[in-house]
Amino acid sequence: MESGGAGNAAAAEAVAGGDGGASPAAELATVGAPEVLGEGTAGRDGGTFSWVDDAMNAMGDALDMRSGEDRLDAQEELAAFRRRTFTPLTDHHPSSGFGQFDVTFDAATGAMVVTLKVAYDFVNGSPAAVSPGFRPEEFQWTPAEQTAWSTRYEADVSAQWSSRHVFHSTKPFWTAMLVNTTVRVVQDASHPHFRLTVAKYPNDAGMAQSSVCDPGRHHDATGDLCSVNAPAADGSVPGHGTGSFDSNDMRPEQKLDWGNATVAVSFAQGGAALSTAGAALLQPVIAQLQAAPTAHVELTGRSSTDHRRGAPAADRAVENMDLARARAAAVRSALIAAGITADRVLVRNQGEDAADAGAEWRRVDVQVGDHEMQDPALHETGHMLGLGDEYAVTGAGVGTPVEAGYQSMITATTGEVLARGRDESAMGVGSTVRPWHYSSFLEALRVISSDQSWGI
Amino acid sequence: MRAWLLLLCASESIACAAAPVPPPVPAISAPEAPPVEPSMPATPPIPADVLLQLWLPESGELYRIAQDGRFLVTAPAGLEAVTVPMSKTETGAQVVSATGLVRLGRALDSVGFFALPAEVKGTMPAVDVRLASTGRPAKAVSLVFSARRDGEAVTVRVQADPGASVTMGPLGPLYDALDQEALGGWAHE
Repeated sequence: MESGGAGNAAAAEAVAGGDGGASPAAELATVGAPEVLGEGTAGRDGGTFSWVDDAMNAMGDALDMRSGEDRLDAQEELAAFRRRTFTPLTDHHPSSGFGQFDVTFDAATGAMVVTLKVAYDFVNGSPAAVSPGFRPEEFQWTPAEQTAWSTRYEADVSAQWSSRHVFHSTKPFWTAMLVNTTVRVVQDASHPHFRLTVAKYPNDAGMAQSSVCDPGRHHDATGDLCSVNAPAADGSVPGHGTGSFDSNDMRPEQKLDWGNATVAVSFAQGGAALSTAGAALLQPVIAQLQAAPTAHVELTGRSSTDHRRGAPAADRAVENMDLARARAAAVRSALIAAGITADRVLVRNQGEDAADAGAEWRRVDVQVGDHEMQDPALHETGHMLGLGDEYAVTGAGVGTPVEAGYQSMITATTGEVLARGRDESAMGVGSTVRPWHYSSFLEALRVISSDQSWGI
Repeated sequence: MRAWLLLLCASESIACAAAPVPPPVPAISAPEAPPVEPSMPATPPIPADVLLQLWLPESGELYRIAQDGRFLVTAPAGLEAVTVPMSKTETGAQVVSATGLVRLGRALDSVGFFALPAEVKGTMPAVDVRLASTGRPAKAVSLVFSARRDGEAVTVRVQADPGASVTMGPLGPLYDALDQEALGGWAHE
């Protein structure tokens, strides 16, 4: 890893005082701290030695005769590096072939700031994309909801993607040169990196798929393909990409637990009261959640396709969705009454979707999960930051390579070789930001500093 | 047994039509021999108890929905294994439910599967179009669907990108239905 080899690595550990296995948090504590100077120079700041020492040091430096000359030279170069200013990168395109962001770098403090400029287009959701029975107004934004969504998105992205890993210089004796990355999202309607179309869906609707088109392209009518942006009136081609998001994209999804078997809590026809038998079925669920504090539970409220006699056709699915919601609420209340905190209970209602008239559909499915969940918007933002998908798909199963451009960027920065799978990776189906997810940032650091000597 | 094979052969025209034909031997003066299509392995026959199967010859993946709802997956160079389907509407179901099988049956009907020719045209996009979230252009591979109804087995092939059902021509809705009942691509973002 270190360009200087094992000998330099050992020296570096001595200077930094670390064991090579410091946690990101411990490493971050040193970011921006002045480098530890060696014996021959410590007195200059402390005032212990006279100007004679400074003169001797300068002479020794010129003649390469000081004790530990290599180290001292490196430290002087580092001090000079820290004083430099670096031209910001604008509309930086990672070599993966997608993603776009701005970068600033302050060597004095070791702070790199990645800025993603976005414009929001808030649109009504499509009732056809989720289960029938939600009310039309639930697909429409209020101004307050729009503001809340963008505020939370910007905060969540920053929290998810900032300060997950620390870059270090691989130059000999530069180990104190650490770089912390902050990711921020700002609104810029005139020159965005990505235009995000955010559709409104009911909070308890099932997942609607989100995706990103790479810079210079936009989603076509199918939503699955990205066409080249059309030239503007002045003939220039807009360089932004697009994101197709929805209002539930900051909601955690139990993607790694989708296959877990469910407990079916049944209800009487037309009823939403939890029966004694239903409450008894919840006891093992409650015990499981109490035993595993990080576990969570997803409730799916359902109904059969039976309808109230005389109900107008337009109201039937809505009435059954209301019933399904009431059933899920009853189960949720029972869990919360048993001490399960509300944030661990996810609710996705389907009403009569997929059902028939059978009594078995009068139920709430209860599915416990203990794997990490994924916020879809944060995964999509990974694409906007230059990262590719890592999950297995039809035609590219478990163990097959990720997209070539993405792999190439990772190889060049970390040497890692990825294989598709189904795990907690933020670019898989979880939320964990792996070291290689900072590849596009590391690449940008190398560009902005005109220096390849950086590692994660 | 032989009669059964002949019947199967008659219904699965792709498998039987793929008898290898020796490539023409170019004359010495010919500037360059035309490229020879690599021989495609024979389509796996659809078992009697399977409703629908999807085979990707290039990767070797084979997905089957049995009539009792089991989801059977054969990974490349692997053995067939019963797998939990990833149903969009019935999360946690360990097999494709009875209503899921009905939905797959409706999807077969909606695309007129049993009346389709042995090969249909995909709808591959222009070369400068990319797949969302991947940044890559669409890449056509063979997708071979087989379905069985009332003892009749039909196989239909399309050249399309498995990452985008919109490239699958008339078979797109059938792929979407299979995806929503079992494959689980709907859950990927």
